[in-house]
Amino acid sequence: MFNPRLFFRILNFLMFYLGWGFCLTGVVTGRPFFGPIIVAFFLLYHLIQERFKLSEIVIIVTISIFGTALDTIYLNIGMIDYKAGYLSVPWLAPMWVTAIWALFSMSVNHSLVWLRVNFLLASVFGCGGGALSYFAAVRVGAATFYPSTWVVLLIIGAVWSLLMPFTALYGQWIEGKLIR
Amino acid sequence: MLRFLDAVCDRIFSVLGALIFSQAPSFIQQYIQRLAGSTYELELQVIQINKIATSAGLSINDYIQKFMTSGDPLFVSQGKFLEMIFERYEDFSHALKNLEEAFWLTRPFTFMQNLNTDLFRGTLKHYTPSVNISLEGLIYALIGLLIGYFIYQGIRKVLINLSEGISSAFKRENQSE
Repeated sequence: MFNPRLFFRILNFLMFYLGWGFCLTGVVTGRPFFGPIIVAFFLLYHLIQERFKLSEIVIIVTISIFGTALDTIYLNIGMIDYKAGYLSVPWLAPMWVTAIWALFSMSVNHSLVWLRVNFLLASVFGCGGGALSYFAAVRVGAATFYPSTWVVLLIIGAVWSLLMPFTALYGQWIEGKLIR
Repeated sequence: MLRFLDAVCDRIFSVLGALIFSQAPSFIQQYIQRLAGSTYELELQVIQINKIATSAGLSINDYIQKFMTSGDPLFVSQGKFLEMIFERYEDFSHALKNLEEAFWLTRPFTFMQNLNTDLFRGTLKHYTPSVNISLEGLIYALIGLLIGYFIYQGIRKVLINLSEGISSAFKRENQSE
C-alpha cells in the first residue's frame, strides 16, 4: 500500500540531493545564488508541509548557524577555501554553504530519522557521508582542501562521525521538547 | 471500483516514471559517446583549417578575418562558418572534459549545465534502453517515481475539478428547470 510517510521521506532526500547539487554546480558556473534560491523554495515547501512546526524551525535555524560557524572555522584555519564567498565578509563561510546546512537540517527528522535507531550506524554514516559531500565539493571545484585532500577528509570524517549522532539526538530532543 | 482504479493508476504512473528516469545514467553515457564523436570530428576540421592557415603564413584569427573582411557576402558567410566550427569545437571539448571528469554524485548537474539540444535530440532518437542497477540509477528511479506520482496527482486533481464543475452545472440547470 502507498505509504505517505515513506513517500515524503524519499521526497525529503531528493530535495536534499537536488539542492546540494544545484548549490555546488551553481558556484562552479558563476551563479552562486542559484543553489540558495532553490534551497529557499525547498525550505518553504518543507515548512508548509510541516505546518511551520516550531521544532522544525528551531532545528533548521540552529543547525544552519552551527554548520556555518563550523565551516567558518575550517575557512579561517586555512583548511578549506570556499569559492564564491561574501565579498564584504570574506572570513565567513559562503551563503551556499549555509544553504547546504539548511538542507541537511531539513532532513534530520525526516529522511535521516533512521539514524536515531543506532548511533554507531549514525557515526559511520556521518563519517562517510560528510567526507563524501566535502570531497564532491572539491571535485567539482567549489572548494579546495589544504594542506592535503586526505588529511582534510580524515578530519572532516572524524568531525562528522561525532556530528551525525549528535544531530540525530538533537533533532529527537527538540522534537520532544517543542511539539506544537 | 473508482478507488481501485485510482490506486492502480497512481502505481502505474509512479512505476512508469521510475522506469523512464532509471534510463538516465545510460542515456548520459550514450550522450557522452555522441559528444565525443562530434568533438573528434570537429577536431579534425580544426586541425585541417589550422594547416591551411599555417601554410598561408597566417594565424587562425587572421585567416578567418581575411574571409570576414573580404566584402564578398559569400566569403563573409564562409568566415562565419569557420568561426562557428571553432566555437563549437571549444564548447564541445569543454563539455566533454566536464562530463568525463564529473564526480558520479554531481554528474546529473554537470550534464544539465553542458547540455546541447541537438546532441540531446540525436541521442534520444538512437537511444537503446538498458537496465541500470547502480546507485545512480536508483536515485534517478526515485526521482522518476515521485515525478510520475505527482503527474498522476495533477491529472487526478484536474479530472476531479472538471467532473465537479460539470455535475454542479447540471445540478444548477436541473434546479432552474
